[in-house]
Amino acid sequence: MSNIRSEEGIVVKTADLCDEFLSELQVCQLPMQSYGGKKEFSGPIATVEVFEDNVLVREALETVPAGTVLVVDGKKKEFRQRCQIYVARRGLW
Amino acid sequence: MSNIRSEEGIVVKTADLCDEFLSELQVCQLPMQSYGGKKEFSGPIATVEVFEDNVLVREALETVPAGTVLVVDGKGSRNCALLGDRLAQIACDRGLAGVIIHGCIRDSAEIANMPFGVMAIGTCPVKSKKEGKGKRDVALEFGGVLWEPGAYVYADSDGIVVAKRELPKSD
Repeated sequence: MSNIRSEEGIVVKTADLCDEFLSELQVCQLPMQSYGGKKEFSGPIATVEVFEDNVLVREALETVPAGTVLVVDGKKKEFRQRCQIYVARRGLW
Repeated sequence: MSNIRSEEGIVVKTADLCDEFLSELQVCQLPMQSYGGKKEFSGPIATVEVFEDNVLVREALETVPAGTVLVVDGKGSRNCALLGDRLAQIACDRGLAGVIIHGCIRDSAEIANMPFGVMAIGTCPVKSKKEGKGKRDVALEFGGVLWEPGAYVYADSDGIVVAKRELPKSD
């Protein structure tokens, strides 16, 4: 197991975690882009579920403990379903 | 035609090849990410067809001639990675020009520092099976391209094109 030593200490690689602990892991299958200045991060999760409204995201960012990873479900699927219902109602298929 | 002069000589741009030789090119229509330390690469193709099993990928990387681009059809699976830092290092040390994978890679942070081309549809941290199933040196079909062993592939940040012959480099 080859951990990367960074300024913040040891960074655990997801590939190494999968090699060692796959049976107790869930692997996210959604392709996601990294936009932050830090490409590796980990921590306990706090969650928010919203739809095109970030008030609760702000509230969570202002209150969750340091070290947390905030996970936000912004409901792309629901958005798609709403679009389909809208299009279907207007007979635009 | 504005070729880029690099350490390895003249790099042929895919855009220029399309301008000059479109009638004899196939253009890959599958969106692919570049993960290697080299964004432009080209060479004769060797092929591997596997599904979530990278034994034959390793075998090919260990045996194909230097300068080859290994094209792997992993059937688009995102459940595991067909190439990680160890296999990539083998490819790099043996002087392969690059690897193109219809599937995922892992150890992308390390692979980004290796001086050869790596293109894939994404990343996945899970390793693949090691059963040895699949085929080598067969014609592959993905991204609207027929990838035949011995054909020439040219890849850069604009895309990937395949020709039946090595195209002349003009400057």
